[in-house]
Amino acid sequence: MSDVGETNSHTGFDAIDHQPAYIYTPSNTNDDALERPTKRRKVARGRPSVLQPHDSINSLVFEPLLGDFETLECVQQRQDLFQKCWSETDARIQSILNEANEDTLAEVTAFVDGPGDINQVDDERVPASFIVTGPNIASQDLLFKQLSARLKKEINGPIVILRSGDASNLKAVLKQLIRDATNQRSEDEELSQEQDGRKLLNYDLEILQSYVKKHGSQRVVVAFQDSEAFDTNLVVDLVTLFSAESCSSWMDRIPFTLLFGIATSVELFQERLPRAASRCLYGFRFDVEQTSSILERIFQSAVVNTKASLRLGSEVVASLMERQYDHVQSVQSFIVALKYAYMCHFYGNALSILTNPSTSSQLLLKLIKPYHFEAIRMLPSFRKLIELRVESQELDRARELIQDDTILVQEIEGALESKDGNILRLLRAFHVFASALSEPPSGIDLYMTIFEGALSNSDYLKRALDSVKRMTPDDLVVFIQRIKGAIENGSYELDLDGWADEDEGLIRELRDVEMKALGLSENSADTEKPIRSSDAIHSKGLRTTVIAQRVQLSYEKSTITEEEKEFINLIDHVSRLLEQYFTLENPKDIFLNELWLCDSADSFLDVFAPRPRAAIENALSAPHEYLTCEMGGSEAGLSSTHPPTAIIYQSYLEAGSLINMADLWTTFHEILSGKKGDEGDEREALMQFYRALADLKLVGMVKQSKKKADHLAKVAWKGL
Amino acid sequence: MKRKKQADETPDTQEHQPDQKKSRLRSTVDLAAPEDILPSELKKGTTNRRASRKGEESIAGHDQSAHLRDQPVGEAPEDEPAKSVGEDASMDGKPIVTPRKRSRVSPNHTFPEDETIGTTPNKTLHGKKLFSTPVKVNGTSEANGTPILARNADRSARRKSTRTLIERTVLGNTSDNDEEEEDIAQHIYESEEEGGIEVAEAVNAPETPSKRGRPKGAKTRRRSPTPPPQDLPPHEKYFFQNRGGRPKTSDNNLSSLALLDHEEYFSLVRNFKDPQTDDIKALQDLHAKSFNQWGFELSQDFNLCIYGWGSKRSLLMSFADHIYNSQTVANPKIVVINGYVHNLTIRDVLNTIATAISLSSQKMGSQPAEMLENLVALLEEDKSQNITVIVHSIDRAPLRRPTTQAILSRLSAHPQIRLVASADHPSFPLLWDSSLRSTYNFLFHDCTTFQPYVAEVDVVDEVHELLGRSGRRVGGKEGISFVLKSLPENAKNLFRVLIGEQLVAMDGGYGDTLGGEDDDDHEDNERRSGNSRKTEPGVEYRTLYQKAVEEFICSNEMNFRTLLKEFHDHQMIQSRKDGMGTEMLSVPFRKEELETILEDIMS
Repeated sequence: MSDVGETNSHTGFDAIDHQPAYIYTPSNTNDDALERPTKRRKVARGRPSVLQPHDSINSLVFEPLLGDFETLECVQQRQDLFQKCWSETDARIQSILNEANEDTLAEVTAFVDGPGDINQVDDERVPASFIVTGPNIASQDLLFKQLSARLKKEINGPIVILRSGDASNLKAVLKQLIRDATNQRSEDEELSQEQDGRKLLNYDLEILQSYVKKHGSQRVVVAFQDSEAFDTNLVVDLVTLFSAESCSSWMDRIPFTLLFGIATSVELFQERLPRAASRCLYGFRFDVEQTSSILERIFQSAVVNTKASLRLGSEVVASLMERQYDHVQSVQSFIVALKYAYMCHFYGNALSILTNPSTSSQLLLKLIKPYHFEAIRMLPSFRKLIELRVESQELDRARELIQDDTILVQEIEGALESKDGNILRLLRAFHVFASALSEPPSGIDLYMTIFEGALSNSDYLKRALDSVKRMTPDDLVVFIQRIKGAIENGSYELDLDGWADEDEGLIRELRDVEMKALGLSENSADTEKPIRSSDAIHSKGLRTTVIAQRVQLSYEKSTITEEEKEFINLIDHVSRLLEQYFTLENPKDIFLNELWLCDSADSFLDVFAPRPRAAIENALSAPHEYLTCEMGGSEAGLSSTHPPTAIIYQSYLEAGSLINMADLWTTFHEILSGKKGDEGDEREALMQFYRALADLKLVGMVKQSKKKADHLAKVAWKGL
Repeated sequence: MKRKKQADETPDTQEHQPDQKKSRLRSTVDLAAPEDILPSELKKGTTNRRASRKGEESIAGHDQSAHLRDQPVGEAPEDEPAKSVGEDASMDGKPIVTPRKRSRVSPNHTFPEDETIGTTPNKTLHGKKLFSTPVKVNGTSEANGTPILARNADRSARRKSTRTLIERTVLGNTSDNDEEEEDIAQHIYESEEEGGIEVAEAVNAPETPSKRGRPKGAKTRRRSPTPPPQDLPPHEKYFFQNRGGRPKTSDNNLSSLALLDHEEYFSLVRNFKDPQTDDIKALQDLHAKSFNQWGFELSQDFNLCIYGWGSKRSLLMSFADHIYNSQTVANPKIVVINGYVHNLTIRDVLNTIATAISLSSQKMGSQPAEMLENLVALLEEDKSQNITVIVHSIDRAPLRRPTTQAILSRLSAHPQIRLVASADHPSFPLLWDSSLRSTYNFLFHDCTTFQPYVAEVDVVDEVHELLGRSGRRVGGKEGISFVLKSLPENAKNLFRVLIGEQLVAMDGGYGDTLGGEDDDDHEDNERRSGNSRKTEPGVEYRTLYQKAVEEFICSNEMNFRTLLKEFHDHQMIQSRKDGMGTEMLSVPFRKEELETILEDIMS
């Protein structure tokens, strides 16, 4: 490595390291690359088309797994599978995203298009639409992109989107506005900036005016994407410039329409604007569908959907949702995380090829090789399977599974075939549960419970059964019809077809119950004697003791009518049915669930929510975790073999808020020379001391203290 | 340097003993006595220090006094800072002597008290926090008096010769004394036994001028009698270390240390062999194993951001090689941006990318937003082109501005652009709000490399800035005088006036604080200048101009400006606006250095 160290120290003097930006062209030999890149560059430019040896390997991005034993065929298959699975999911998500904003887009377009007719000449106010996007500013970008695409299609006129970061003063904004507006229609047409022989400045709205005249534009739409982030004065200036009662008004010459993207509320936004400006505006408010509901829909169609080839485990979903609610609140970041889950799964899991839905299991089994079997035998679900066999005293079978590949193949085949059924069962339960209740829990929560295998004991089910007990016959009929409807019709969002013919037993039972309940309610309607819910029957005595009409009550309880008795039986029957139906297998116990269930949350958070400070602090306070510093026992804490910055950092941690550099240097020098024993290297130690200090400064842990000479002020505390 | 310091220390200590003896003869332990003895000296000392306050002629006076002070010290350190260390030491040494004498006077009847007085200062041999307590009792005058007294004492050549004599005899005594005290201490405070022994060692330390004199833990021990509680949770630690009161650190400073300059630093770096190179290499190889994965992530429209301790430059460069070698596109294009280069602008970034796309120079426009649009248009002409942009240290100052980040993020969001960035600062995620974050679409990877930041950091400059010696950038005093030699007489004069004025301003700050609760002594000057650095003494532009005109250095402001510009170009002066918006000029050196520079100019 001394090689690299050398080159490093040399590159310190290399001009290229201090060049702000350059085009990198490495030579083929790595050593040369660092030394003479400048010369190489010119040569390389001419010939890259010539040396393309990589074309043959085509676009194989995935790398072989299982200790490089995996055949290229498998790798290719994995990669293709990923492309296919993700593009399908992505398409579903995109369609939802487009749909979600569809209403808003239509409304806004109608508004922008509309007032052109009713806009009287004397009305100098600028039409404005306030689009309340909610606090999720990350998705504003998407919305406005859609909006501008839509408006461009439907409206004759330029559309300009302004972002707060783009321009800081009126002149710059106008410049950008004019540039964007005039460029976007046709690049070829050089807009004459000359008018009446005088040259116009590039922020003169007259340019825009002549453009509008030339193209006969109906509207000039100016959108403020993040209006809250704009300097208020800037907005005011613009608004008044477009349409003031003053003589500088442009409204009569250029048909402006403004769009404001608002994250808070229109009231708050209005408060910020002075009256003079808000008087110049008139407009409507448009609400955008809020993040949470879009998220739910996307979740249903991308994760719960039957066609989704990869399920997220409850752990992953939980951590994603926590991040979603507590930190980012953006649909985009959820989609990205979902995509990353797909990527991880197919990139890192060699067995994922087995999930390919388009090829039959026989074909798949031809693909797999002995090392695949080994990998399968390492799976936790395989272990569970063996344990199960052992428990049920099928020891021979268990042994065969472990030892004999052919037996394992049979098992795998079986698992693959039943896989879809198993998932379907879970999803059907999900759908039935969600549609049966009048107030279903959020789909995401429900999904998490089901995929934890915890639905049968969950509060959701208990609550549902309780509500069944409180039902009257009429309620029960409605309830059962809902369930039947769910089973028969399936779900569009989940791509779930009706499965009435598969669940005939349940359907028949339900129909039975329904008929009976119907009969009961008709009877009671005839006799004009309402049938109470079973809950009411049982609890009435208890409740009404307070009213002190006990005599009458006990009388009432004892005279439960025949109908009511029948009804109670009915209710019990339904409860049992439901309980039975919702007793689901834990997906994590299913053999080979690793093929379609992605459930490792930790890799996720690190990749999306880094903790750089913890990483740096850890590196500095425990360098031995990274490097094999020959240190005598970890309790020593400090030794000369540690990197200098780590040594300084240790002293830094021990010191107070003010650090004397002289003392720090003495300590450092002492530690460094402590083991070597040679004190002649003071200058070298000083060099390392310099380095360490500069490092600490780089990461913002120290700064010069003004309190005392040669003192450092401590800025960061570890772990805070 | 160290050796010298030690040598100075002991004689000075002894120097006071006659005085102390005298006072003992007067049968009281009157600490105020020295003040009575040498009032004139004291006055002289203060005038010396204040002299420089009156403009031109006072500078001459000051100059003289500087020389005066230098001459008698003879073999003593030849530069100002070093001398002040000598003074430091003498101050440190003094109190030890005082109580010791006392214990000898009355060893019998004041046991407990003597013991405490005896040991406490001993323990703090090198510190002065505890020692300052007895001085405080006696008021400012004494405190100011002593060091000058010490210095004046130095002047006498005769005394210097006798000093060595006394040194030998008394040193023996002290150690005897200590053992005595130690015995007593052991009897009374058994718990402090260990401390006592250490104390004895510490006292003997002057004999062996090794670094052991100040053991590692010393700083913390001195700060509080009980060691700070260990294993505090982070927040408690914060409050513990930030608790009120004056900062309790020692007054040691680095003035005795010859600082590194660039040349020496780099030659040291070149010859330095890091014992950890193998490990660091292994670490990088470990990270390099995920290159393929990174490539895949990039291909999926993600951008990468790697963080963690150590320079990630070479890692990213080898990733660039990897991309170059594995990219299947016809013409792999990699643009490297060094975010740590000071003069980097977003325009450079966009321009370089534009040249990477098409060789013919395009008209890009001047505003970054406009350039970005043109760039995107350029990109869309050829959809097959993928550009990988590697940004080293995306979180460094040149790229930190929100507008720059916005442009970068929009650039990176383009499907044909792949951004690979590295970030060094522990709080870099704060750069981006949720909107930027989602535009960037980063995947983060922890890559702790432990490699030194070779190109990223200008180590010498950074450290000197920490030390408040940024003036070294010019090349120190030598650099200044070199530049001045090549400048016309007028410029030299102007610089002289500027330094003079700045010195006055520095002393002015000193005079102001003197009236305050600061009762520490002369050697505290160091700190004062540090103190006043808080307000950064400088000379008002107007004032300087007036002065310059008065001295016929220049006749009009144009002239004056030209002269100043020369200084600016050599980074010899700094200009900044103060709270009121007036322009203040200053020379980025410490007071002592300024004085020597002034001497150089005058000579």
